Amino acid sequence: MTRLEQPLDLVTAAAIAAAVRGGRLSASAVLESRLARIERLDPLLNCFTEVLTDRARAAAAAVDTLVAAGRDPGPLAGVPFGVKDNYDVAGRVTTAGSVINRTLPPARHDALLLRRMTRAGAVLVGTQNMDEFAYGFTTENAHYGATRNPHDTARSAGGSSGGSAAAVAAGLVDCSLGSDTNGSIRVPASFCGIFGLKPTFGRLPRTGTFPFVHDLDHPGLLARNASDLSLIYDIVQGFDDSDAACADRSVERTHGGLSQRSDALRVAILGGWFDGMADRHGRAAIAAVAAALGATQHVVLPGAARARAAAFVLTAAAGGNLHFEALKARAGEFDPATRDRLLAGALLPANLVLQAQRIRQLFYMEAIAAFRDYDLLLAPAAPCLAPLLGQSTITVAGAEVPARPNIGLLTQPLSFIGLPIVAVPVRGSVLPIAVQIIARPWRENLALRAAARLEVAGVAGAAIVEP
Amino acid sequence: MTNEDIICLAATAGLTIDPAFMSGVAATMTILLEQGALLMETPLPAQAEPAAAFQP
Repeated sequence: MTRLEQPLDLVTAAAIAAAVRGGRLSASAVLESRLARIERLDPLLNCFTEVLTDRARAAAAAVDTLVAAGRDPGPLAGVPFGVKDNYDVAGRVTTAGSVINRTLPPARHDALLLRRMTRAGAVLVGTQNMDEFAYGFTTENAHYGATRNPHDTARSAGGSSGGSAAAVAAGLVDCSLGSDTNGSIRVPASFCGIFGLKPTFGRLPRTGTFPFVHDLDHPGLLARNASDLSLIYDIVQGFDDSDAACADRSVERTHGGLSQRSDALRVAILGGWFDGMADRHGRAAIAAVAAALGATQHVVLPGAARARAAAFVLTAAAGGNLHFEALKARAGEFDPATRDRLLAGALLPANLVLQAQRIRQLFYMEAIAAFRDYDLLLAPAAPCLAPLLGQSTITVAGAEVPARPNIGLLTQPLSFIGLPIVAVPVRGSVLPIAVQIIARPWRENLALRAAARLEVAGVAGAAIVEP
Repeated sequence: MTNEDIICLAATAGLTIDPAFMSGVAATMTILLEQGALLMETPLPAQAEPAAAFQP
């Protein structure tokens, strides 16, 4: 692994946009640099399910035309980005990592968040690999292949937004739109060493995305620095009444406040479950972040193990229900790793599902109580470093356990109650590991501000990786 | 959980499990029910409402 030195590959999304808007760099030149990199590296990494070269070149040319005419293409002018393959792209079938969906008609419109990105001048480069129907943490997809981790191509990029994360880490794009139901942004952010934002449930509209678990699905973002994450988050915010879960809230901008003093923030470390399930790398990352943010106190959420179990059960049940018709008629066409869990989920008793929903509400109240004393809570984003592709077990709390069901141990309880979380890649480990900065609902700004502070302090950071 | 249990549950749900998938489904079901046991051993107050329409 080496660091790149070409200036074009070192700039941030914000810097690209500033250069393009100022006429110092063409969007087409930026795009061609990314397309060349994709052509060279994606056969190895397998981040993309489809590279939309013609569309991207047309979009970049349109941006350049606006600049030449003296008009402003927008705050993301010329920034190349990708979307997880569960976002609609007009004229294309949204596979969600499956072959089952290939029989669906092509999408008539781009997903809403994609539209907001392109309206701001960003250039869609392609769709990105994922676990089938977003049900997994490793992006080892039986139909579209495994995405490889740019830091070590023998290892998983994490999932389910694995293609999106690996593409950002390797500099194939400068940001990605992903989704997080149980940790699917935070886990790949951790394994690939980049920043990820899972906003509050209901903050970003899911309009035009393929669902997994309706009341757990969070659209979100992946980028290589906290400032880009914040800038893009501000652009894609906004209520949409066609999404039943979208909160009717005005846009609450974060970027302007990123550099505000954050030493007044009250930060605590999540202990109990979140410490017990972490490995030494996760604990070291937490120690570094805690020291930088002045966190000395520990908070224990006694219901965390039950919340994780409830999230696990609800996810299987909801997924089994969502795909019930296909499971009846076309079970053999699923990825085997997904199929067995969906089939089992479809058999779960209603009593268990209702119990899980009741536990969910109790755990939410428990977590909210912790935020009376603290603004932010810290926890590792994964119980391990990126496992090898094909690795069937990981070691958690001294026990060897199946990898696939347990990689999300530390993320599941938190997305289960919809809290906003920024995953920050912490420097110093042999392979990347991220820490979750967790805020109370609707306070994404606080988590982003802390992430930016960690970056300035040199505790967190991401650079483009040459596999 | 035995294969017969799975077949019976599936029939109730209106599903037929291909014998080739049975071992994977049974293994997953075992994990799910282990997690479920953790939920069901928790006595909840009557006032504990389900978060069916979840809004933070």
